[in-house]
Amino acid sequence: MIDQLFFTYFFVFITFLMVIIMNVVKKNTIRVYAYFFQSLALVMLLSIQSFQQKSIELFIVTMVLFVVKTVAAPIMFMRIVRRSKLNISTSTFLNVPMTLGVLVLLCLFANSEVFSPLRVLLSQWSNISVFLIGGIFMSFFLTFNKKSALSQLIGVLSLENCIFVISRFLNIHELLFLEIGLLFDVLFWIIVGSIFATMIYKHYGTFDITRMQALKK
Amino acid sequence: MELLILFIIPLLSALIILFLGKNKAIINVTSVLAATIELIVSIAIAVQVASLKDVSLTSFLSFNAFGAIILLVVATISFFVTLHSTSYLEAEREKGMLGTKRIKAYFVLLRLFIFFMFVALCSQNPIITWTAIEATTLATVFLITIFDRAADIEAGWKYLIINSAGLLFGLLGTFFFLAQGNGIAVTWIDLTARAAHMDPLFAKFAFVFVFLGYATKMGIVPMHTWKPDAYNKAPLPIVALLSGALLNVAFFGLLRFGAIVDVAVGKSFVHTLFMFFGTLSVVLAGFAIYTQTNYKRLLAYHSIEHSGIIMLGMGFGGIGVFGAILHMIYYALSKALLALASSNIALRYSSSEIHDVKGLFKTLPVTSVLYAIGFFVLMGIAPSGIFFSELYILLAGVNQNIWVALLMLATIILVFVGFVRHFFDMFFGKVPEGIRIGERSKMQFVPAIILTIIILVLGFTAPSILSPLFKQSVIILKGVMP
Repeated sequence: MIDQLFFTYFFVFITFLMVIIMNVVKKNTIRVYAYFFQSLALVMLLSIQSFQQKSIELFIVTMVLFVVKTVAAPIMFMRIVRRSKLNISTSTFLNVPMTLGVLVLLCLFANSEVFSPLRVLLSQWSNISVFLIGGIFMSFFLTFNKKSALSQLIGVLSLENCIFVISRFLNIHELLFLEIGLLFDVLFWIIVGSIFATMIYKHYGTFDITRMQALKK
Repeated sequence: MELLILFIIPLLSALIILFLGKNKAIINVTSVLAATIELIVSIAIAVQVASLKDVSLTSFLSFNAFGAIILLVVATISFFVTLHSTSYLEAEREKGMLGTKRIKAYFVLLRLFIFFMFVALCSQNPIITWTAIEATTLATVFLITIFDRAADIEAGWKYLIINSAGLLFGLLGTFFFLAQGNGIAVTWIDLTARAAHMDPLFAKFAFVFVFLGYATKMGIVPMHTWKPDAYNKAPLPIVALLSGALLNVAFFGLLRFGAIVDVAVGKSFVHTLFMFFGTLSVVLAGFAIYTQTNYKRLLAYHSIEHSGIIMLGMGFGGIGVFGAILHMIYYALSKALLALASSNIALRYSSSEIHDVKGLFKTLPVTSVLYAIGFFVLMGIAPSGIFFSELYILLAGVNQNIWVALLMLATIILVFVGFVRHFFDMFFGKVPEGIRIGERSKMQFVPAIILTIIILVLGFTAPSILSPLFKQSVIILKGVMP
């Protein structure tokens, strides 16, 4: 039981840590790997829960999640990175020190009294609320701080991972078909996003969204 | 049975077009037939709901009166858009803008888009509602970029990222609501029943996230930034659906949560939020319309303005709720008319800039009259339906908050002046060289003429099935029962 608690904390921390890494690294490949590890941590969290609850339904959801987030998404993103030779390319609107400063501020905000109602609901998990809420805000920041379309895709998916993580601690029990439906929505989103990223590269020869100036013209 | 048909038809037609749509005749006939059946079934569902019969497929899929009204609006616009799209896409094909493959993709995605809106409207589960609304983003993003130009991709990307990120906050808020119970697979009715026991502070907290998500989809200021670009680049029949149908579907989802919060914390919280963001949207859009030089972007800002007006009506409460429901219907239909007429103008002038469009009365005599009617109906000229809906909202505003009501009135006047300015620029003057005179084909204006007749008739009288639906909807929205 102690081990399960330890691992729960550990995997929540990993999801949080990966958002920080995604925010500060420059290489797209590392960002994709960070997303992979974040998703894997989410899969592990769900595995622990399905084991604890002895729930076959949760185990099925975990398996689907594993396929969608740790297999399909990273493969698609790595293919985009390789095809467009984008290993070192992501610039940000804010430089690294400024980015770190914003991340600290977001964590302070996540730890503020504004979120006290949520901490009440998280009850026994309220001590990790800063990781849960902070991860959400930092993922949102990642989406709009990076100039690369691929990083924005990963930002949205990281935000979605963090929301999935927090939902696991809110004691929500949905029916299997609803959970699977949500995951299929995510899968289609990943496919659509990847197609779009490729279309951007085809038209602009880059993933840099600041180079997209056709609307202004 | 009706509900089953309503779901099967768009999916089946999408599959037929995808696998058997080898030529334009099959694609067009399948699409129009599907849209016709959907409209007939929607009317049948509305009649049943009006007579208080249970219209449900499972405990998760059923219609209430308010949902039935919006279903009628969605199915009506979908019918006219599908009909109009057949000639519109043919014209684009002749201009070399689209091939058969893309036309096929257009109709497949269009039917899927309609399907997801139907699901969102009759869903009794917040997660299904959210998933369906998110799925509309995935279906429409390729419709926005159907012409595959660089600027289309840029607009589509903005639409995808902003809407997805916003809607994820909506999902987070949905989880927060669901976390306040201990049951499995909660329906809206379960949530409302639990609302009285919810922690008021947490209910407010959860609603803020839900509001962020659904208001992004509606294009409420300041989450509106995707809208002008998406409307500018999307095919105009799709703009009719985005503006007339999807906006209402997203607001429907938001109102369902609003009803729960009303029970948990009282009406003032949601009403204040609606009034604040409604005012912000109306004012910003008003100034943008006045200074606008692009008539497609004008449609976008008009959509922002009217979503603000609808939100204000709900925020004012009282007779404003009735005004807001009326406004949702009249605005959706009038906007669809304006978008369809605009598509003929865009086809003829190959430009969305107002200064490129001159002598419209001469070049497109029928379309220009339809555009003018849509124009003035949308402006709320008496005795149009929008005139009455805005009047009800203003009257409610005078009772609730006179300053907000005055601000809304001032903005409506500003929009009117701005719109009339554009009207004279476009309708009169010398026809630019190389612009052909006369309508291209009857199919380009016949659907819009029928829609105009419906709008004008609805301005004076409502069909008998609408009356009980209105009454039940007002009770639902005021009396808080999903």
